[in-house]
Amino acid sequence: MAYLPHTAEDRREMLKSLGLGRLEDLFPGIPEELRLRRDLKLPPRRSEPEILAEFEHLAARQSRIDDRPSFLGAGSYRRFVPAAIDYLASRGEFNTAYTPYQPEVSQGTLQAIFEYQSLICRLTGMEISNASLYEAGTALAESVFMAHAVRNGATKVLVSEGVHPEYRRVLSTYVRSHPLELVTLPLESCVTPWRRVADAIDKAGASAVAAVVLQTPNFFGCIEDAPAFGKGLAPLPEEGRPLLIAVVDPVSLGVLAAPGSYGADVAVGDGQGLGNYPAYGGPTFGFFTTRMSHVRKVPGRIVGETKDRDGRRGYVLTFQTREQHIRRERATSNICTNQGLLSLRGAMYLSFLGETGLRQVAESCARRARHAFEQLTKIPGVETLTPGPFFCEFPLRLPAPAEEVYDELGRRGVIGGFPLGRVFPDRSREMLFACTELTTAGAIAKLEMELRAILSTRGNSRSR
Amino acid sequence: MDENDSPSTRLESERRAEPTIFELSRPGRVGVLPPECEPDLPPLEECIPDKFRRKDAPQLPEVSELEAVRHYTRLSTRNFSIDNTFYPLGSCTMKYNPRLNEVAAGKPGFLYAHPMQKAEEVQGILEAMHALTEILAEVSGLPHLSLQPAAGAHGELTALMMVKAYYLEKGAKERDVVLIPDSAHGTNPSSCTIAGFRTREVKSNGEGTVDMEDLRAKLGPDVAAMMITNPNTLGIFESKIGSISSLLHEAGALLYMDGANMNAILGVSRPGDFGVDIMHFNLHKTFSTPHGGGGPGAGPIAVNAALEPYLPVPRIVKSPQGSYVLSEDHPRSIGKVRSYFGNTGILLRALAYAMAHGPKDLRAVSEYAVLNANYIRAALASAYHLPYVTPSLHEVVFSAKKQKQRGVRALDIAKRLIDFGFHPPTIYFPLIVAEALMIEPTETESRETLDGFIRAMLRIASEAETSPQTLHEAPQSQPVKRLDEVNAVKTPVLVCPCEAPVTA
Amino acid sequence: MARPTNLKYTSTHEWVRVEGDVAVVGITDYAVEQLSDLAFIDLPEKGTMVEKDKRFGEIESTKSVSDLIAPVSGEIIAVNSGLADDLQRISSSPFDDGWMVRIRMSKPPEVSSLLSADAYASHILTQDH
Repeated sequence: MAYLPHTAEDRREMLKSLGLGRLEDLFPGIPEELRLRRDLKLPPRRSEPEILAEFEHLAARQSRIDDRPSFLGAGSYRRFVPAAIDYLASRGEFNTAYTPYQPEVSQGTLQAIFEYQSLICRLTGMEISNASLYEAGTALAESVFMAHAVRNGATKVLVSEGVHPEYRRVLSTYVRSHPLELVTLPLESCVTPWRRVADAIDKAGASAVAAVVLQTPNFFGCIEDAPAFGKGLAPLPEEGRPLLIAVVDPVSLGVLAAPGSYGADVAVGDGQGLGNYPAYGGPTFGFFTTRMSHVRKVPGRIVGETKDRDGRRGYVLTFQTREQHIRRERATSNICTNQGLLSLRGAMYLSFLGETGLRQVAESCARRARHAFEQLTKIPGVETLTPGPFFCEFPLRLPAPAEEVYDELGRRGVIGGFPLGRVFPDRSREMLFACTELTTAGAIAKLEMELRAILSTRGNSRSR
Repeated sequence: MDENDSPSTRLESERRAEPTIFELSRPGRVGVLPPECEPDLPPLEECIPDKFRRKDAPQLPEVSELEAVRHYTRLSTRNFSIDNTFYPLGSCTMKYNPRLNEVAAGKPGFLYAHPMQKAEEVQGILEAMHALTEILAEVSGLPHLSLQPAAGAHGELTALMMVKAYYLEKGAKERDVVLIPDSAHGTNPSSCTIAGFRTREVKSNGEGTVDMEDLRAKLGPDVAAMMITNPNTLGIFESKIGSISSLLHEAGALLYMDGANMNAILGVSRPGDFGVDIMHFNLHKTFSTPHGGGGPGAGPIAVNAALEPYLPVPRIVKSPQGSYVLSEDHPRSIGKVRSYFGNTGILLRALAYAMAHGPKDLRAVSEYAVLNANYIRAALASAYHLPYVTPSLHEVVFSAKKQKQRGVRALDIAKRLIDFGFHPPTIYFPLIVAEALMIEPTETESRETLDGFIRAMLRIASEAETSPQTLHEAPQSQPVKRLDEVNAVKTPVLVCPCEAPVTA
Repeated sequence: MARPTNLKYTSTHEWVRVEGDVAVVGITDYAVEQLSDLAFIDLPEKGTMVEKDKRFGEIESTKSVSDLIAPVSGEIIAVNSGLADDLQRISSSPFDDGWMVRIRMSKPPEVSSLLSADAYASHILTQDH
């Protein structure tokens, strides 16, 4: 039987040492009427080769974004993952290790987390980080809960409409049983004007607003004027100032201003772009960075540096009294994970690419996206939606329903941009195109060619 | 010459601190680079205006690829892991993480499926996920699943949010209390708080099970549900679970089960059959997915028909034609509890594990998990205090009470076990046992491993009598000795210090 | 440690020194010993109203969090704010320099339900089974 080392002799002797005859006798505490009296209705066991063959078959039934030109982004990106990361992260010593509650035998994991915390803080310009959370949606929810706790129960949270719709959905589920009111800040030309935020804060009274949430680049790919938000909030007295929560793409921070530089109190986001795969959504990790002054309210695990009895440097889980296993119903978060393996890959990514590599990746994304934008906007009927700058994604309005264009592109061997109508019903002709450092000029040329062909065919067939 | 230049013994070299990646950096050194930009691409200045550009360089590491590979390889050697060590951590189910699962789930067809693709584009993944829901439904005896939660605690929270929605829809706002046994894992009450419930503790009796009188006393019209773990955190099956469930249902309340201990009852007894309305699985425990140094996991939830409307969206629906669609058409759903579909990679690993087990094999998993735990229990019962004589299943809880009389605590025993080459068991949990040592060997451990562990534990018990100082000084065998956790809080250092800012 | 007999005690390990209509409150040597490494204290602000047997603050070690339970009801009129930076005081002088708050009692008769030093000592013995 799979993975069981016991021989018949082992079983006999071990049962004998317990004074028992059969394995069934090991369950005296289960009343007869609660015992399953039949076998589980499951398919028969399969061997390793059979399972692999089945998984090959299942894997072949996806249309992948790596083996053909793809322009799908919307929060998950095909990025360059250095080959060394797969090898190192799959080492059993990292992969099959437990949570580092016994620090003496977990210095590998603990130091890796400490380095991850350091790397993500340098990238975001923030003071402290936790060991990571599940993904960006719950990281956003946790940051809002923290803001509520820090701001002495202020209940309003202003959320830009540019924040990823998936994250906003998660946030609204999470706050349902809490006295928190989410107020949406509408976009104008795909960005959030500070003026609207200022009005909303005035209307509610600053002390009633726990946080302002801004994503940059936002879901539409547009770079928000986050420094204006920081400047706008700065004059408010500290006790009455809403926390600025920035949701950011970590790779973009290779060229874009870091949240710490424009006064963000919390910076969160998804770590998929740092050495992890789209993988149909998971697993990934959410990063959570903030000010040292909030450390006692930070969710999740935190690793700190210390010394052992002989004065050697070492690392431990610290500030554990925040967490559920100690604080129980008084914990501000119930989280009992750090996405260890994923954040390890994130740390490795930042180490392998390093200072030069990450900057080059970010620059490459921006330049390739700009190139694609210039090519696509030359196509008759294609309009831009925003005058502002973007990082690696941009929205365009097409002279045809985006969903149909997506399907037709698919038939021509190209995975198109994300049809925005799927999330915003009044944007059914709009498509969000993403480019990464792996999007070749050839791929962009192919997209341009196919899109031009699709749109001109439709144009000709429309009656005037 | 500094320490690193002197020759060393094997032990000394292992003890040398591994520098941080920053300490290994040298300005100008380059690691891995992406493809170069074609020269005719628009220059960066045209793409991003100066006011949005980064002014301070992040000061990321500057190491060569080889140096980074060595750094992480060396770090990995400073870890215990299932692959190199026995991990009898109670409540964690540290069974072998089959390599097959890594290969199966790691196919590019899965890695490069984008979460915003349409159902038609990802039929293989949806078929796999659907197959997993059928397996978990059969194992739990509860027909409706959600694979969305990213971890056990996340599954608990999702389930409690559903319970909240269920009562709100009935207009029963007053049902805002959840009963929790005093032996419960800390995530249980903390999940209640996040879901908007108050908690009320129910005592355990002298047999280590729920005290029925106390339950009756605590059960009122304000109770929405009880959260139990079965077998409980003492490894003991709640034999009165049928009565517990009836009591709750008669009082208009629901029964939630924390599935952390499912490894004890696979194919033996089903939560849906013993009156559970809603439960979560820990795939990183029962279904062998790797712990990864603290995550990722997955915590799917299984529910009965009454709670089905509240499950998160989207749901996988198999069409009559045999294809799979993702349905959002569930107006009473609690919504989404995370972005995208779920921890797909983990779900795929769990499926591969399930496929390696036929019906009798899954049952054998539990039978041998219970056999291994009882084998240890019998061997150690004379040396360590057993707080409950009630039979235990897949895990056993001892107390270091006897040893405490000699000044030796559960912590010291744990640290000394490390010197014998074993990861310590869970200590100081559950809270109802003083100086608790919770041992769960799992079914994938051989008799020789168990015998070695037993011998070490017996030796430690005798050291507690004859030379307790050895235990206080343990561990001696690792790159570090006991670490100062007080200092870590009093003088926190949570990041590597940066040099002065460098202009980008 | 011989506990001061002029103080009153609670079953949750606080002590009270009555000074007219003011109660000075701290935690006992037993509580300190149970907590081992003190790491953090959270005390209320002056002016806060507290209620007998309800939580008025928290004290943490590295591995545990304990509630500070108000032995009497009233208004917090003084807080030993120096404690936050010098938790040592609580360990070395729990009944004196380690005082935590002064409460102006709203219901002075509540004092009568507190334990004497002897009754408290007996209580501890029953806890340590």
